[in-house]
Amino acid sequence: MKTFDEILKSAPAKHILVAPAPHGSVSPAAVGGGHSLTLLPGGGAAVKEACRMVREKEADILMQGDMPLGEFFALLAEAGVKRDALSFVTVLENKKQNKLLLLTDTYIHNFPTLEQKIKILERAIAFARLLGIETPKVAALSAIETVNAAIVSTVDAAVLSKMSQRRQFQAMVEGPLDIDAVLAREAAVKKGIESTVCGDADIILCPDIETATVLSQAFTFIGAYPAAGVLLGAFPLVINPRLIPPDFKEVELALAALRAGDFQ
Amino acid sequence: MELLPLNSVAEVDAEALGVGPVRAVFLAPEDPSFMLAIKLSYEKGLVSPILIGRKQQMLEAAVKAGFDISRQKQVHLDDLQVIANHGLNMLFNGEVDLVSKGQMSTNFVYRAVIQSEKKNGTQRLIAVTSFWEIVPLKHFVILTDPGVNIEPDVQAKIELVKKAIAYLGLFGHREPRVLALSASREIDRDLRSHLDVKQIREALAADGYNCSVESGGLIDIFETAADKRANILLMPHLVTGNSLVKMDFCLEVKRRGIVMTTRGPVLVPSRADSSSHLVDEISLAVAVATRFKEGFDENL
Repeated sequence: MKTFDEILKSAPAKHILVAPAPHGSVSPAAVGGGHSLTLLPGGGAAVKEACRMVREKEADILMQGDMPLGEFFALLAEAGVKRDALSFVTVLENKKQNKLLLLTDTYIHNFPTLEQKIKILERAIAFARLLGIETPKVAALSAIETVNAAIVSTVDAAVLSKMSQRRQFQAMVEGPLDIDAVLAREAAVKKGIESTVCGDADIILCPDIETATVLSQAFTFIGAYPAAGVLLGAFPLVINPRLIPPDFKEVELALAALRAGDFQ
Repeated sequence: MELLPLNSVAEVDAEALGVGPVRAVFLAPEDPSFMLAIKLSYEKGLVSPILIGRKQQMLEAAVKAGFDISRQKQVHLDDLQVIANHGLNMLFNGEVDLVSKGQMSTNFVYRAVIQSEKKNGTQRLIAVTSFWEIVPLKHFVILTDPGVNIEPDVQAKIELVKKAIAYLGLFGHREPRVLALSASREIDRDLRSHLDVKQIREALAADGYNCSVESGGLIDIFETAADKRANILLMPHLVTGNSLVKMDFCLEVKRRGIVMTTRGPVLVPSRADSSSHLVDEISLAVAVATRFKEGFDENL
């Protein structure tokens, strides 16, 4: 899949729970995709009940309703969805290159350890494969392209790159790379880096939440790239962080629907 | 002296063309595209270049760039640290108005800057200060620090902001509005990038600065009225700043960057920068070098 249109066309119709039910009615037509919709009223109890229903296959997707995200996450944790097991991907439609670009982790982890980065990366790779990217090209981002012990992200990126060389991922991981080497092959060549990942990355693994947030917002708000978010690591969940503009909610539901098929 | 406000790259370029040429020293200009940038800057009347580096390498780069350097002032040195030290000495002695790094690691330049400031009795935090024009918003903003300080603590951040305010003043802007970029968010408010803001705000107020300091995301620039938008972006750390500042080529943003010393600007271009981008950077440095002489601020 290379565009949001292709995602929308590929996603199966699913049963979506919205919890807690928002004020006013929400029609299935409003969410598109032929999905069926159930609104669960009742505040925190509704969220917990929705978690149970999706786990027990009575529904496919849980969508955050009328509740602040912090509170919503606290309820998820009470229902057994642990934050550390999750990661978030900003899916960007890169029209210039006619491909999708995935940034991760753009919401959950603050300063992930190497161990956490491995899990974040494995989830993103599995998700990319679900989108039809068989061997994703992954750029492990840092500030420089050489290993500097004072900058932890360069060391982590080098380890991930070596793990990739030893085929520990179903992906091609290159790093450390700075952003211009990630985004432009010519820039990488000028720096003496020869890699097919440069200028053609499918996934950018961000070193920390500060960088991830800034990149996601730069692409979205300055670059006007269409963006959708997807939460990985649990049953299909759709959340509404401020990071992601609400313009492509239908695509977010489609991404969750694709995951729902995979999840089951 | 009151400096007229500059609000765009076009205005900076126009001013640079009007005030040039200034005396500029180039450290190890040994790459054809970098030499081409010097040639173009010279032909535009921006700089009178002085080339310091290895004779043969400079000559080869000049031949490839089609630049006859036989009539340009040259200093032939081999050791990269000696080259950097020599260039910075010239800046601090007042022999040149600006310095630009060529084909050498940035570390050589930073070491030379530190040494020169120390000798001058003006030891200050070294930082890259970048200038962004966000084209869709027609908005001018300073970014600090995308280039030097890996994990600035709150004291370093206060200094970085003071430098940025002084730099903003060079562009004729007297109402600093600082946005400390932070990923503080619905599920986690207590990031250091957010918590530091209170202390930064208090320190600046105690030192008599009249400016606003808030934390937030790039989204806040877009959601704020034009006359209230932040004009200084404080980066939480190096990786974030470095990643953001170099996104200019895939966003509608025009970027220029500089290291300000107490004696004038030093350019530290990326090896990936094109010749035309280097000319743009030189253009900014020319305008800044000239304004710096007219409106010296001790915080720079």
